[in-house]
Amino acid sequence: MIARGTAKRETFFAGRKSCFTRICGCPPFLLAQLFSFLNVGALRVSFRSLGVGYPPGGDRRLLQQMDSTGARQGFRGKVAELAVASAVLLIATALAYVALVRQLADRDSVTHTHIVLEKLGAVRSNVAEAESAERGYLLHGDDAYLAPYGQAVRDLRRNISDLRRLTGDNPVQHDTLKLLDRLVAAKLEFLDQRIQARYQQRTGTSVSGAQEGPGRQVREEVNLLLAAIKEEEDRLMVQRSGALQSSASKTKMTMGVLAGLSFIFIFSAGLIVQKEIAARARVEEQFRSLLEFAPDSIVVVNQKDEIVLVNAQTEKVFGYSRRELFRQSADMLMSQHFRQQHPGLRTQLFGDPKARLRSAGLELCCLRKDGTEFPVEISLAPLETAEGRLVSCAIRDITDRKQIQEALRRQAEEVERHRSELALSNVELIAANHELESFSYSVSHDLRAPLRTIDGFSLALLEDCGEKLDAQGRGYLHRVRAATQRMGLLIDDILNLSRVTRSEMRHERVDLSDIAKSILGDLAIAQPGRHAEVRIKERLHAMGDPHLLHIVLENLLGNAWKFTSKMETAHIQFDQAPSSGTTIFFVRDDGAGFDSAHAERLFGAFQRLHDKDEFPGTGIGLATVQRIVHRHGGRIWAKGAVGGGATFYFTLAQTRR
Amino acid sequence: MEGKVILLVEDNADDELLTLRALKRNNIKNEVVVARDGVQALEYLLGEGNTGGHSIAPLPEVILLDLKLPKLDGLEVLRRLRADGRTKLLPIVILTSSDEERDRIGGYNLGANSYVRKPVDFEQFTETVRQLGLYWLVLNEGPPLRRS
Repeated sequence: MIARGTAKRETFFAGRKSCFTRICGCPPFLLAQLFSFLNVGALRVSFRSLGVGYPPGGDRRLLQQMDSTGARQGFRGKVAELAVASAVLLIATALAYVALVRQLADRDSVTHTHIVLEKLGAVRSNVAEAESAERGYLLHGDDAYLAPYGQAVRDLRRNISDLRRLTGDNPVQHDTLKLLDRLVAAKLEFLDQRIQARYQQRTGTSVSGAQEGPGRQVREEVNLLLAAIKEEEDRLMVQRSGALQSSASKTKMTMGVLAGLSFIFIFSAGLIVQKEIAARARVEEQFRSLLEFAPDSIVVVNQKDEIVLVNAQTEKVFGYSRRELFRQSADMLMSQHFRQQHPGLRTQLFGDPKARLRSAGLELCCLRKDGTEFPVEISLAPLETAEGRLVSCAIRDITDRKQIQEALRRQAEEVERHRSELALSNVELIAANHELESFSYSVSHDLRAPLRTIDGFSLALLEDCGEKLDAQGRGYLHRVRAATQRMGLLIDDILNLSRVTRSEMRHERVDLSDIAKSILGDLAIAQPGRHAEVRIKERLHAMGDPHLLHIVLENLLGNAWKFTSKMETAHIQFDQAPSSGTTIFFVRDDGAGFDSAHAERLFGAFQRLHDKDEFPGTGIGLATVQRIVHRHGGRIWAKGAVGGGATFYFTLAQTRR
Repeated sequence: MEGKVILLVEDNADDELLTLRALKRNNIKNEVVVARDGVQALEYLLGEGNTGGHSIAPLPEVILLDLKLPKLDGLEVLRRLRADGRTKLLPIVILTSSDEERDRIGGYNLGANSYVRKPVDFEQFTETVRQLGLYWLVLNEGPPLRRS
């Protein structure tokens, strides 16, 4: 039985040897690889859960953690790796179990051999005891020796029977035992005969002849057989002890591997769990921070209208501490006015779970701890939680916005007021302009008619009654006529000045050089006796009203012509001055010039720096010129000296208005 | 030239006198009919209302029309004359003190044949009248107008 068992186990191990060896048999290198794989896997799992695998981290990590799909995928991955790890552990455990079972079997067979050897010893001593008792009886004939003898024989028989049972599965031992059995039987028969003979001798029957004989030989044979059996068992003992030692060491190794694997898995699992917990804590912290430091006040209210959660902004805005608000009615944050005026709305907002809770941009009024009220915009969102429906209220203080709106409204009002004032002014201006137009129209018609009458009848008087007047009288009449005509000129110039201001302006490209040439040409024709050297720069262009610019040059060149009338040869120049910005035009003459101290007065209406008899004029020309230049967005100035000529500079805006 | 009538529409008696003097001094001997306001001018030309001092006489060769007139101003008179078939083609010279742009534009718009500003200087005025007489009474061939 023992031998067969051994054979079976060897077959079993032979069949699985490759597998076993691969995993446990020659393990250090392969196992190290396996561990490193598992360990790396475990770390990878933990890294994934932390999102470290997707650097650089923050936002991406948060987004990934917020993304439930990603979380599910991570979870599936972890389950798979956990299954692999569990399978590895299971296989290792199974192998350890098998090794243990084998070790136990080996130990059993060693024990078995020990028992067999013990029994062999017992048989040997039983035989000796039986012989000794028999010899004693033979010598003394005392019955007292018979009892030990019987005991020894019974023990012997029992032990042999035991041996046969114990070695029943070993055919070699079985045959040897059969022989032993026979020899022992023969020996016992011999001993029985001698005891029988002694018994008869004591009772008169002789015992001789029965001494010694084959007895000694039998005993030696028995001893030889016993020695043979022992030798076989000793051989088995050695074999089995070796097997036991081997299986024990394998068991130890397998257990060691198992323990190692378990440690690594548990350690890795612990690491993963720890990092997962840390990651979750971070996410929670982030979300908590989002809520806590949100720019709006966040108040979470339960179905009983009790405040269950507030953030820092709420404390800051309302002036309550969290402790004061917790489990209090949300009413305490609402203004009295709102509570009274909008109970229905309030119920809808906070009480009735069936109401449509999602809303945005509700403008309401809230109440601070100090009793002041402030306008807010509230957005509500329902939260379904394990504790039931909660309502999250995002409350934004819109005091600033309201103030800005109010300021804007006031500004708009102001603007509107200014606008209407402007409109009114415009109406007044239009009326004034209208009036001015009527005025100049009247001037044009009504002031000139009497002058014509005065002049006309003065001349009629001179023509019809000239002889009746002396030279002095006729001189007076000439003065009347001269004054009248001068008045006519003044009126014309004033009308021109007012027209310059009132007339519609055109904007087009004007060739100033051409205009200057034509004006000076006309002047030369009007006074053919004058000698003048005229220099006009070619192609001087400007943007402006051609008619008005004509008036400008007419006046400036006319002045130059006029104030050089005393010169033998007049020098008149029209050109542009070097300038980095706006073009500066100038008209220069070498005539009478003017006192530069009075340069400012040149452009005032009716201002004259020369005697009107010396240089005739109304004093309105330069005022008109200045007005035109100003209307073009330019400016005009003059340089000159008495007797040193004059230069008039002017600019015109470059851009079209 | 002798039978040609000049209609002077002028409210200012001084101007009327001076104009007549200027005509006389230029030897323009045509009959000059004077209307003192727009209404009189229209009565003379179109016979509106009851007949006044003047009988419905031959149409003038030229009208010298002032603009600032009582009752109906010169531009209105011009408009009505141009609206009437009988006077539609009648030569009308605006003779006025003003050279206001709106008057000039208004006058030409309504069909004035000429626009002359009266100078303050009477010598110049006399010369102006002389040239007007020469042009409109001598040089110019008027339209064939006959009162129907």
